[in-house]
Amino acid sequence: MNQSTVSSVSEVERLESSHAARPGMEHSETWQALNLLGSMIQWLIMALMLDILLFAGSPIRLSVQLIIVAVVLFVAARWSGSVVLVAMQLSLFFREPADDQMIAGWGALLYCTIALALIAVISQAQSMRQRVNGWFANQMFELLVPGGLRAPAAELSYPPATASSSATNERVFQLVPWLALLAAVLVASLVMRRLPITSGLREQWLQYSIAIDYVLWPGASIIVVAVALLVFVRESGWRQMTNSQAQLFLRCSFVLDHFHDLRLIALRRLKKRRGG
Amino acid sequence: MTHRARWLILFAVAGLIAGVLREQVVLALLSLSAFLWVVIEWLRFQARLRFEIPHLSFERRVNDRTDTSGSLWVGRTVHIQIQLYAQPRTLVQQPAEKSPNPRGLVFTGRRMAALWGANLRISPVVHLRDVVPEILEVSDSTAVLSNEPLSELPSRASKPWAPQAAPQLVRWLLKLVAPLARPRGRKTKPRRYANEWTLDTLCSAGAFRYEVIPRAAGAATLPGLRLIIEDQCAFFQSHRFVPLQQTFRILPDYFQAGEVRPTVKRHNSLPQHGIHRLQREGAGSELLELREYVPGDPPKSIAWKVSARRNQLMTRKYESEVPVRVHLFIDGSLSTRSGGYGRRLLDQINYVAASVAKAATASGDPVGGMLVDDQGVRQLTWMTGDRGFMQWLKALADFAHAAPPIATAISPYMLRRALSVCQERYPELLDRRYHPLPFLFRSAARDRFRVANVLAELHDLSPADQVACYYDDTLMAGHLQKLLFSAGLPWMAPLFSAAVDPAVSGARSMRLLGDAMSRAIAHARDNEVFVVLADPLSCAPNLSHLLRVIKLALAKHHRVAMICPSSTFARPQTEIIRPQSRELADLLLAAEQVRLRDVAQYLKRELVRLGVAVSFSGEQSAIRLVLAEIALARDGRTQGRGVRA
Repeated sequence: MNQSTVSSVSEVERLESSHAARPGMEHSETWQALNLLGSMIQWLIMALMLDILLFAGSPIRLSVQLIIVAVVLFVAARWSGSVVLVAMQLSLFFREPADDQMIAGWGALLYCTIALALIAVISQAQSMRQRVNGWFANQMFELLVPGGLRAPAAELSYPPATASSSATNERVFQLVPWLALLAAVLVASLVMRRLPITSGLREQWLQYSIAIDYVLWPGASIIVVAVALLVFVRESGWRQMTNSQAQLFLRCSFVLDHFHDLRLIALRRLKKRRGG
Repeated sequence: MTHRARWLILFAVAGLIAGVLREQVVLALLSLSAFLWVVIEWLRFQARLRFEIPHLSFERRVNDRTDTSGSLWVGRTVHIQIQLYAQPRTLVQQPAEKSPNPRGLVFTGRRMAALWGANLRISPVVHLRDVVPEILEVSDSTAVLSNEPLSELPSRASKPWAPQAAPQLVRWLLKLVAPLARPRGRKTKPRRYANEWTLDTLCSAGAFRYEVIPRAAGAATLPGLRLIIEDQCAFFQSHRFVPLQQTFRILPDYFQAGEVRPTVKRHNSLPQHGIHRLQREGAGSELLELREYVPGDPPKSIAWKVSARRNQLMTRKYESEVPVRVHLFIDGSLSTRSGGYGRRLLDQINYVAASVAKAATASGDPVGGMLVDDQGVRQLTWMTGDRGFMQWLKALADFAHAAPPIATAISPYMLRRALSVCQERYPELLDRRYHPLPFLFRSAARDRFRVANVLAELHDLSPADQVACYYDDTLMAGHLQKLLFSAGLPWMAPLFSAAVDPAVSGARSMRLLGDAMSRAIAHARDNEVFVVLADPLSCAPNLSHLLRVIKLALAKHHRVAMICPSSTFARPQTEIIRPQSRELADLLLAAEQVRLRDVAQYLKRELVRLGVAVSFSGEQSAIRLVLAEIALARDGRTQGRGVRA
């Protein structure tokens, strides 16, 4: 059992009081400057990565590249990380040579991983940038003033109510999104190896299908799996409903089934009331 | 799924098709990876909804108490703290311990250890909003957001810090960016409301605190918390409502008139608390007058010494010692209840009534009253002391919280507001998946059908009534009004549209008020004060009945004061009223002021002629006027010594 664990309520109160006292308040301007510096560094790194991903080996002039990167990052920051995906897709669309084998090598995997990581960072820019800024500012304070502001700054960089003593666990939790991203790339490469997307694979697939009673493989299996999935999804959806949701659903289904009759009844009553 | 995810999937699918057709492996791989990434994020989000969110536990502390009901005061700051915990299922299933609030949690060391062992966390991002009714005003300036990131902390720097120990390059960089970091010129995010909070970091517990100020007397229900759960990339969102209901009675504020007992000793014998010496003939102990003996006078009242000096039998007459009973007649008609909380005439009336009741009970005088509204008359028994005063306040608070007359017409604004209330309080019921609807071309009709479905579920309507709500405006308006009233909306659009003529309603109310007053006069004793708190300005031509009753009260030697609050929170102006501009609103305001002034002058003339003390405001001057009347009633004089307000 972790000895540093305390009651949540007292933890909240203690940390709030420390929040109010804040020994580092007199340095807040410098703290903000460090935050801004951290933010600028992050954007610079992102711009550099995007430039490499978009224009590596391209004959386009550096000034044009920078303008394009700036526009893409600006729109992405304002709207969504999808813009970065579109920019990279366009870059690949015009620059990538065709390959009839369609086999992704390690370079392609690395490229996709970095590209998706960049999209993920830009998509969650707001909260993540703040966290990184806090970490950066902490590190800078630690570097500049050895032992001076380390304790309060480190404490303040976490939300006051966080039971933050188990830092290892938290780091593991924070790694999960990036592992998911890596898994997506690996699964995509596996799927691409299996799907009949090249002429050779399509030929093999047809021959295999002809060999098993002229039925496209895995057509029948897909139908069975799809039906099973549909049943499972509907059943799990029904079981996840709350009582009021289920009542509402049943009520609306009943009304929909008998809508014309109920509508006639309602309109007749209304007409009678207005007439009478 | 949000628009972000939709756009990403669209671009990913388009890129995949292009990559496969053009045999560009990296393009296809990147697009397929992006698509699968969204799918994996969806699975993670669903797992979070299934396994993490049900373990969340919430607690609201209002003024450091978790009770599900209580009392608040108008104008006094209320501190609300919301706490959020991730709680293991084993703890959820345990029977609630002896806690003042069964929803609340008492965390012992053992529980916290179990919590720690279970490694439960609250993943980002969770937006919380404590739903606050309109009767409570959220105070923005005092918000305390526990996990506010450091980059947004307010700058209160005393002097800039010069990192002497830092390397030269870092110092130069800091110097370069420091002007950009100053909050004065920096564009910051729009400020959130104080009752909202965003949990954007991984944690196991959290809390935030904010303050509200009750605007008016009545009742306030804090229904629960609105949650918006989303993943870190904002691809998916889920809206939830966590019921955490706490209901409070809001007691009216009152003016402390100070010490009302005389500090100068004027009499040899002090009557007991609540008894006042009336300078009329009675059975008191103080001498009122001497007069000649009349056969029938009790022999013990003969003043023998005086009789001997005058050589004629003289009789002593003593003063009367009576309590001063204060009757408050409170008008709760339509015109007094219309408007936003804190701006209604009823709020001014409650303030004056509470202040008068406080002053009277402090002097030991019993206070009774009649609460009159369109529904009828409610009589309050005589109350004294602090307990009686609190009962009075509770009665006023309950009186202020009344349902409006049933609406018969439905307006688009009413429907929109009902939809937003449903989205706020019943987001799970508004989910389109649970509303199989017939085909409808117009979106307004679809909205109406969905709201009608939710209302049918909430109000337990039959399927026939549910379908009737689709087409019957009257039925739908009634149910919408019920929903909006339960959400704490005041008597104004969209909850209430004044279909009833305020003059007609006011005339009925004045008649009821007159009847109530005549009943009170019939049961009155010697020396009573009748305080009428009403809005006669909206129905001045229909006051004949009330004026007759007032005449009767005065004829029976009671004192009458009439307080007529005005909608402008000030007395009607006497000087020439000019509109501030030629805008329609200003012209209407000026016209209303002219009308009010004329009606007020007419009323004042009529009432002063009768001898009634009148005030056309709900301020402290009105309270002082009533207290002066009570003081006159206490010593039996007919006119005040000083200037009356």
